[in-house]
Amino acid sequence: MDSLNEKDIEVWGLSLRLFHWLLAIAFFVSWWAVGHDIRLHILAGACIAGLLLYRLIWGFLGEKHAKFFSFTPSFINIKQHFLDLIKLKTRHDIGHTPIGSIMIYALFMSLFILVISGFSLIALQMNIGPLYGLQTTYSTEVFIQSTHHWCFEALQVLVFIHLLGVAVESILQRTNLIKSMFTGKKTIKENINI
Amino acid sequence: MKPLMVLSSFFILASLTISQTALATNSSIAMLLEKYQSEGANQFDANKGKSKWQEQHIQKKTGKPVSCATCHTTDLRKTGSHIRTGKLIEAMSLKTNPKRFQDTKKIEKWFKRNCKWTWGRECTAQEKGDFLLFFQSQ
Amino acid sequence: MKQKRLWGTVLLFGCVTLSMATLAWSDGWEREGDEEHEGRGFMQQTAGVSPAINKAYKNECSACHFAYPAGFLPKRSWIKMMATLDDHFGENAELDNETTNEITSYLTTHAADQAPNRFSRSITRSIADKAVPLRITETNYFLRKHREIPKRMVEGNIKVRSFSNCISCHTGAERGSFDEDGVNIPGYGRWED
Repeated sequence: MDSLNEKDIEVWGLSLRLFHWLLAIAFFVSWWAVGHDIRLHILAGACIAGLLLYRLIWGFLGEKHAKFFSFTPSFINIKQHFLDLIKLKTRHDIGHTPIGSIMIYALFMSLFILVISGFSLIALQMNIGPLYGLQTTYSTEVFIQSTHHWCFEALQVLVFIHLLGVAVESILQRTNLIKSMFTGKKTIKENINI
Repeated sequence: MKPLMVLSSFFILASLTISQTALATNSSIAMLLEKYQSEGANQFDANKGKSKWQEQHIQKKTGKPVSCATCHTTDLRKTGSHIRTGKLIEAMSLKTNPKRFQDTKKIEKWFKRNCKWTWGRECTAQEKGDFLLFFQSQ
Repeated sequence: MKQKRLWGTVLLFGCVTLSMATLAWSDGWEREGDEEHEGRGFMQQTAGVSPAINKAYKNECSACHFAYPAGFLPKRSWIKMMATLDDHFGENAELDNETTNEITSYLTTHAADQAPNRFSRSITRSIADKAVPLRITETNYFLRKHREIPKRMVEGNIKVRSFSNCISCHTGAERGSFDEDGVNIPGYGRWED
């Protein structure tokens, strides 16, 4: 006879969870600090740079669901996920969902541009940081500043969609995804033969 | 007896203080007047200072007629204002503004600037002396 | 699994420490042997511009207007400004030789292309090599920073009248702070971006 057994497995490792929450905190601190204290803004930004570096490495060396190979989005999977969403169908993705994977990569790229443009600006304006000594014309500096600004605007949109997505998927998957990002665990149902 | 002593010493001290201030200012002006005399000026006349104060000259840059009174007004007891910026200029009268004219360097600085701007040249020792007397008189 | 957890955490904090440490990288203050500026760390270098601190400059040059920070113009502009005080924007602002020299020395030492403040490099970059601007409000840097402010809030505002009147809106100007946070336009309030 087959019966369903519930089992808790660790999907997100400790360092990955720390990464996620530190990134969120650093992002909001950096956001707040722009108008108030540029030093804090730069510190938070540099922190984000380090977090991204970790994630890049961990995407190759980390646990199963952290590895990039485990969530490369394919057109077929994305299409299926999209259809499931429209039909409000319950899915049981253990790691990242297909559309969620796109979000991850979108966030990566935006944050990467944000960080590079940020490092360029502190090099240009204060001659510090990993890009110190960088020289450009004023119009290039203005362009980098605009890039930094628009990248941030894009990230606000992405973060909003991300939060929305987490909420929607939590409901559809009947799983508290936010809790999972704290504990690292998800409950899976597996068939066992008695 | 005692209150009378306190009162009289107060009045003596007060009058000494006031006269000291008046003396101190007069001493700066007195120093300058001496300097101007050594530069060849004759007796100074407050009325001459008054008439020159209102003399119109064409300002080099704007081409418009101006005089000292344009900014400082003809009545030295009044507050003047800068014709372009509107910045307020305290009264030039020594009696109205006893704190004025304490720094000879400052007096010479403003003479140099304002004579050159208004008249296109520096004021002579005679003219400056006349002006100083005019400031003291009102 | 426990090993991976440990190494993951080590990697995480290692990366963050490294990236934050890179903020200390710099080729240092450009002029060697300048005692006043040696060892300027990350925290000091973030100040936008130094406020006017020289006594003579403050006394003489804020009698009619705000004592503009020396870091807002390049050295060559201050030299020209101090050499033409007899026609200072239409006024005669001449000073005696001693005072003129003292102020010129202060301004040129702290000029945009000499001082390592956060705005300075950008200001210098925004001015063409051959240009010798005398009006801070006409430099590209200034124009860009103020490009979103409508005329009615400045020229049309009786309490401001001109962009050269920094102190009417920048409440921290006297201490060298021009952050957007401290902007309060008279009659309009805080500048919300």
